[in-house]
Amino acid sequence: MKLKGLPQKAYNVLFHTHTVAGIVISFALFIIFYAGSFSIFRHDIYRWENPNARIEVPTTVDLEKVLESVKANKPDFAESVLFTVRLPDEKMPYVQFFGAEYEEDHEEEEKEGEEKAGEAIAESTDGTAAKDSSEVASEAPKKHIHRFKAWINPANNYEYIGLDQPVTTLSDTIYRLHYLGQIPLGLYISGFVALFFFFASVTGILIHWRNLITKFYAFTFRGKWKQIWTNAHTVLGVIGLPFQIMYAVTGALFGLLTLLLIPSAFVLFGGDTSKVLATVRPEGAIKVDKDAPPLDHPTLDHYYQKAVAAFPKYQVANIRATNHGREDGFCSVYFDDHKTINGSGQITYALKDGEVLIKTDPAKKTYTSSVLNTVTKLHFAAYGGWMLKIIYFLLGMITCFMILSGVLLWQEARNNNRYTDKQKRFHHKVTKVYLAICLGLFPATAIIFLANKLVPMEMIGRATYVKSAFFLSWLILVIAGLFWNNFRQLNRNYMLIGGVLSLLVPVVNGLVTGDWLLFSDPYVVGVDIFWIFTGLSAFTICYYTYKKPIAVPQVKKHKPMKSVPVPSTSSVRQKPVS
Amino acid sequence: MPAKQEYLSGRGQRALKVSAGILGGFLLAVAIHLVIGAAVEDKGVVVITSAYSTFFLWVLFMILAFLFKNGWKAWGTYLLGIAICAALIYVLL
Repeated sequence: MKLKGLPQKAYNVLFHTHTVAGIVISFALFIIFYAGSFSIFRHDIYRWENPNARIEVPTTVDLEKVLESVKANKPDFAESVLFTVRLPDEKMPYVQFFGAEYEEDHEEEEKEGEEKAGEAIAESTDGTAAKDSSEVASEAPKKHIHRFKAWINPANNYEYIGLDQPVTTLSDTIYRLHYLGQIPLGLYISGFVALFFFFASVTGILIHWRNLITKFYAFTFRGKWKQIWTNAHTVLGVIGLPFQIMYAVTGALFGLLTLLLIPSAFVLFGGDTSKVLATVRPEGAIKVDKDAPPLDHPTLDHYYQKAVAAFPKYQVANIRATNHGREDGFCSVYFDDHKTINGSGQITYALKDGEVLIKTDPAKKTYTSSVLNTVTKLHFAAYGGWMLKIIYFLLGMITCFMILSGVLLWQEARNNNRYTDKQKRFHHKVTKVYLAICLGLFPATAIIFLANKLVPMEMIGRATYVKSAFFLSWLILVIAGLFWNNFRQLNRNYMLIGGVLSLLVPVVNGLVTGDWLLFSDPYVVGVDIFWIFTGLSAFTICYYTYKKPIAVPQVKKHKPMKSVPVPSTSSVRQKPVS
Repeated sequence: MPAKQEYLSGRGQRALKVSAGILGGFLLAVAIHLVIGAAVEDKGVVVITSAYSTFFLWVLFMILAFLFKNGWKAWGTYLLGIAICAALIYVLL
């Protein structure tokens, strides 16, 4: 059954825009999807990352003791500036504290400003947002504040673990890579990549429209390479479409939200950005006076308990307080059922008398207060448990494959006599660089997991070494890839290196921490099992794509190499053509 | 497989269409949302909806820009649309 396709001209024009947009964003999009798929588990892997955190999760937390611990260790702790306390859960046995302290110089803040903006949006429902309109308002121009985070261990007498020199940043590094946080303006670039991904998805569906149904049932890994890549690209693109459109839109939203909110702020709210924010987070717009009289009695723990009693069906995730220790201060308790897509809410108390200032009951949430929460939950797979996360991960990997097959299809479709040798060499080179960047990321990811275990825990600045190991090995792998002129050889090498390194991850974890497949802790053993599975999959891919040609004669597979005169031919044909 | 060259336009026209789609499309998509925001009482709803619906319109205008025969006409149409929206916002606010 053929559907009615686009008219000839529109078809060709949109085809071209699809190709150009796709090729331009392809490797960045791959990195975003790949790192993003891993980032879905960024909280879940903490107990694996940090062997010291493999302790029992405390059942009760006294917030006053948390505050005492912070005050004792941070003499310049700015109590009245917004701070967030994130409670322990089964993934993370420590209390996470995000606060501010007064300090003399303010270079650090300027440097981090841009990254913070992105995190604030991305983590807004996580409650760890760095900035809020109320905080911006309460920042005095003379005293500069510096934000810090710390872990507090309730199991060990509320021991303070400062993170100025963090012990581990594995998941943080991969998460930052997800929104290209390591390069300037990375968040905006990733936003635009998501936008063009949306564009490419829509144009892709439009040009594929007439074959949509017929091709869907003709999915096969047989035939010419061009056919295989076409099938993989179009069919996987169609199957993954809802998932991909969701990520294109929510990704663009997180990256480019400022771009959209600024015009609204200027035209509809007379230039007041805090009013725009207030529509999303009303508790962030409560005005406070930082010179208000001090409040003598401690209150935070009391309101936390009160919120727990008021919403017994929900788990309190975090508590944020503004102008704490002052008469007009207030605190918001955020809770979530971690099950439904709209199951999060908050209650805000005035610290002085416990008056409920704002309440967002998940059962009676309005559209306005739901949208951003829902979008965040969709994007971070935070609504269905670990099975959903695995589905997200697999769909993410399928999308990665779809992106790469698009690049290979682009090259293969141009590998004929309608193109000059110079053009063909260019296509070959571009594809090779893209494949090296994308596939090199796989062994590099295994290396960051290995480095996380191999760099001794006591070492000062170990997180930097782990990070450097990741980026340096990625760079070396990419450079090595440039010498592998045959795509099949390139793919095999990365899969073999990655596969071996993957299988080493659980071994090194066992050797270093002594926890060999720690089945009593699903969050630790899960990572080990994941890497065993990944290593075996990599070997399987090697086996099927290299050793055992699938109904495609050897000669055909090497055809690109024959027609593309490449400078170095020594490594081109390793295996004799039979 | 690759698109047929005879249907594609030249460099100058392409630049016009790309810029009309990305820049003009963005401005028009935002302008349309602002008109709705100016017209309704509950502006918060429009602002929060625009956080995702703007992208739908933006991508639509990007695609439409390429379907114009002449890039100048694409820009002209989008600028006219933006001007109409601006006038409406002026009247409504």
